[in-house]
Amino acid sequence: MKETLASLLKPFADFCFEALNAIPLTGARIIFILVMAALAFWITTFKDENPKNLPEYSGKPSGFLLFHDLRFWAVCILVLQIVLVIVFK
Amino acid sequence: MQRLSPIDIAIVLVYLVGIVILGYFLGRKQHTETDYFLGGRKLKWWMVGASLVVSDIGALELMGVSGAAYVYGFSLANYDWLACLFPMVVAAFVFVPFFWRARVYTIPEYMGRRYNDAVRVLVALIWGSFMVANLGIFLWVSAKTLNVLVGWQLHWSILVTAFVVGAYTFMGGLRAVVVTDTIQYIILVIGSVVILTIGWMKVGGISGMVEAIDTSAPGKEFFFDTILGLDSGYPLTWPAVLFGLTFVLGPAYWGGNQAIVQRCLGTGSERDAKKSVLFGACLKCTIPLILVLPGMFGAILYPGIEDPDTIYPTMMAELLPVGLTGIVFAAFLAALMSSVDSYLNSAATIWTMDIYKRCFNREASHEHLFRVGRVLTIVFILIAMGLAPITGKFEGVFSYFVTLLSMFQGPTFAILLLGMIWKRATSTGALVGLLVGVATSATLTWIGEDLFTAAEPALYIAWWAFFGALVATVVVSLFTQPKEWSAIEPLMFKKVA
Repeated sequence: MKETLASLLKPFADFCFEALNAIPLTGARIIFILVMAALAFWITTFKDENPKNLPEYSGKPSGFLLFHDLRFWAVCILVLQIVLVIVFK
Repeated sequence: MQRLSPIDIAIVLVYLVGIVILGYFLGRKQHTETDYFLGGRKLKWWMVGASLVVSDIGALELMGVSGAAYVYGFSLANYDWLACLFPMVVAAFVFVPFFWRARVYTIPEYMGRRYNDAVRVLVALIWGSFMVANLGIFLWVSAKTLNVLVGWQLHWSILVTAFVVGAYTFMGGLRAVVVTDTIQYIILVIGSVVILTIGWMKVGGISGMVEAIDTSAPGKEFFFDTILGLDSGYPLTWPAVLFGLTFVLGPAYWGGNQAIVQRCLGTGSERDAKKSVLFGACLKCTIPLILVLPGMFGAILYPGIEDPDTIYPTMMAELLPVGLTGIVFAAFLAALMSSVDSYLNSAATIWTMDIYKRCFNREASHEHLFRVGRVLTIVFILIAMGLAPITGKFEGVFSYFVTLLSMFQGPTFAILLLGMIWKRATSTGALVGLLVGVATSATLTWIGEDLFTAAEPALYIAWWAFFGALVATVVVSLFTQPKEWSAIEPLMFKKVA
């Protein structure tokens, strides 16, 4: 039973292995960067958090408000991840 | 390995007694299940963020990640970077605010509202059993570690760990878990930085390490690499990281694990819940420095260790002077306890809210549920104490049991995700999807060695189990009747800030 199942699935498993193995590491790195960049872009399409509407931020200068937009921090984290992928081989 | 000096023992005792007293004070004004299971929804976001991170670093991770870095090098950083940062951002903007708005206590509770009670109870039983079984394993691994490190008898280690964790979790509930976790995070970072600094000086920094490691030696060719090919023979190759960790197990953990999500639900606002996960992600960026680098330094300082998992305790014992050993040992205990307290509190929450209240006492008062939660906390720590030695005797069986239960993570995440984003997903589809996903996982695990050429097949199995559950849920849902839109609309994901 086990051998039969393994022999049935093996060609597909080998195909997946070969296909992924054919992608060079530079390509893999680009895939990771694109995945992170796509998420960062998607996060920026969320509605503006507009911290001006929160009582604790009323009257604060607008430059200060950027740091209270959580989308900004999410993008920073993802950019850092992209930098790590680029810097470390 | 070594005995603690009286000064070290005093530091450890102060730490242990201190967190039990803290648990007592934090639990004094708790009267309802919201106080006990969600900290009264008054938890500080930065404490929750630190708690999320330290709970992720249990005994297994502390020993395992450093040990694996000792053998495989820098690619282990992917456990904290590629496997966590992407899923944590997704969790912060998709899952956590979504659950917070739904005002649920548990993820099975959401499943019950979105699908039906059968899905709720099934998922609750799976997660509830998984957590209680894991408690026994955490205690056993902790005891074994303490035995290696300071020669403590196994039964004494189990008793001390279970008593301390059980006491502060029993008295203070989630609030005690989060506050003690925050303290444990600070102690853990201090201890790990000490080991990192001393290791750094001994090795001569990064440049000294690069010079000392012979990357032409067999098995060390990719010691400094993070993105690895399938033919490298290393466990964390890039497809395993991308498909297994980044896309499935990472989001399933950060967005679908009760122990993680529950403490975010205890924050005072939806914005605080998001902030807690993003803050946790910021802290996560630093974890490879305190876990992976010491393991890599150990490869130079102590080559040829028989069991690589003992590298962290070895460095503690060999590098640290009296006094500092006590601090780092307390940090080590902190790491052991942070996972136990989280799973203990979450197991009590699931069994109280999704099994006891749902199946046996729907009209239970807030005060009654609070008392049930406390009783279950005691019951589960006692069960874990009983399971811990059995884990040692039948390690293979228990490892298999936990592997079996962990197979549910991918499929459970698949039906959770579809329930959130696809209005056509039905309860029959979810049940079938869950079963198909688990069957896929079990089958692939069974024939794993004959099928997978790459190392670490579990990560690929997680992907295929998730994919199988996703496809089965979609297909069956298309042939079954969905719920009315008006009934599920509040339970569907909406892109709001």
